[in-house]
Amino acid sequence: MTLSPASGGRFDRLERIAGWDREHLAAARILVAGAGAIGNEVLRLLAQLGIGHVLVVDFDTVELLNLPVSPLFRESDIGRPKARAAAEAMRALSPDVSAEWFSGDLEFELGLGVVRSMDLVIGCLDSLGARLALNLACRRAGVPWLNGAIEINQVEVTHFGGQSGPCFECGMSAAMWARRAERFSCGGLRSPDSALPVPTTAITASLAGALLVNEAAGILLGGPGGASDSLQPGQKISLQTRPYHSGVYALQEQPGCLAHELWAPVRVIDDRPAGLTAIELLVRLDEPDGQLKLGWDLLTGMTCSACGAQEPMLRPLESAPEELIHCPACGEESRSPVSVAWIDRHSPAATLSLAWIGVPDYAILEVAGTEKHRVQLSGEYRPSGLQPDAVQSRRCPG
Amino acid sequence: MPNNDPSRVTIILQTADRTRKAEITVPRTMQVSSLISASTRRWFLSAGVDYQVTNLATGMCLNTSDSLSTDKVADGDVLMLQPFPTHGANRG
Repeated sequence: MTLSPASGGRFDRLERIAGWDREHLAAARILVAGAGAIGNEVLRLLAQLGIGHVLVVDFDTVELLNLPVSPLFRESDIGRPKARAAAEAMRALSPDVSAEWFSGDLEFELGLGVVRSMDLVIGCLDSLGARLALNLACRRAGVPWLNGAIEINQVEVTHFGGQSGPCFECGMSAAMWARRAERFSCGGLRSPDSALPVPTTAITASLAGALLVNEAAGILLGGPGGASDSLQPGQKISLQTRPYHSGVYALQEQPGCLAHELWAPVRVIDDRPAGLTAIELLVRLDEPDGQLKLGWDLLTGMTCSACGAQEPMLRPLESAPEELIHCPACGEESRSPVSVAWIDRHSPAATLSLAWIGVPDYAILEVAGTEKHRVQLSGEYRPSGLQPDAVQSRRCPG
Repeated sequence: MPNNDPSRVTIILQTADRTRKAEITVPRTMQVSSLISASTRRWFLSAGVDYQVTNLATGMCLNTSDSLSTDKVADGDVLMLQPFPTHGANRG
């Protein structure tokens, strides 16, 4: 066997690996959800391997306690959006890499059309709620995703197929649902985040990141089911580091799982949420008497049971803080939220722009009328399609 | 101990870190969630943590809402109890 002389190129060593199709890997579109400890490791490896057009999504900013577990961050990044700092560090590591960032909430501020445009999503999240939201988005979009998770001495990486097989929600126990519900008050308002930083080191995050990228390469090189020796959809690798123990295990599908819902076909229109009202969309679809389903509960106001004061407001219910129960009129903590899950032409919100009521660019909305429609706004998502200030500019005041 | 009662199943239950291990005989109709509750109480495992059970004999993760018989747990199977990790690094 004769090896070709070294080209001196950045990826020369990689190109010597049999089956390593660098051009194919470089063309892949990957969304990395979460730029914390695991996300940092994943993004570092993707940059060093030259994999993908990467979109980094995280709503948080860099803090001092992130530095010991985040190889991409420096002290000068403290206070900066994690997504931006991570994407810029990726480009510094490997200038050939296409890395974009979006500093916003995965659940409410990132349109499903962005997820739908991806070849793969890598979940590097730190909460149950965010994983449930990402799982639902990937299942609706039909995009496979990898879930990375760590405990002090434990790493798990799970491959979830986009359109079939068990999903993350299939594995939710009653106890986990109860713990999830603790994050919300009776009216659905979000309780204060009381979770403390968890004890961990960069070691388990690094192991998780390496396994995630190894599986990502296997999926991207192997087609829909992934390479035959990679994790198959519905399988996870579990690694215990003290004492060492590892295994590949199969998840079970729950036939009645409510997350198993592929949103297809999708009609794409170029109008952006900022320039379109619900009524205009209903008319456009020739469904003037139809209902626009938002996919989340829209908080339309708070009503005080003590003094009767009402305050109108418009924002996703689950993003609204529990402190809204405090009534500024009478001082009692006796206000309840009023919310809707859909809008028709009679709704007060029907004449407001969709952006005003919290619909992000590239959102996919359902319209139920004489038939069911699924419409993606803002056109097809292309890299560089997300404006860094888009989230701020579409938030409604108050 | 051999188990001659067809309504019961004898299994080995252990934690992933190998600090706890026991051979137990329980009803085949026992729910996986009940097995988790009983073992976490008995073994004083951390509260406030979600647990999962994997059958090392079959490589299957057990559904917490299923019974042992539904998940085809057989005599002699080794079940591993471990936390269900949901952390990244910053928050639970």
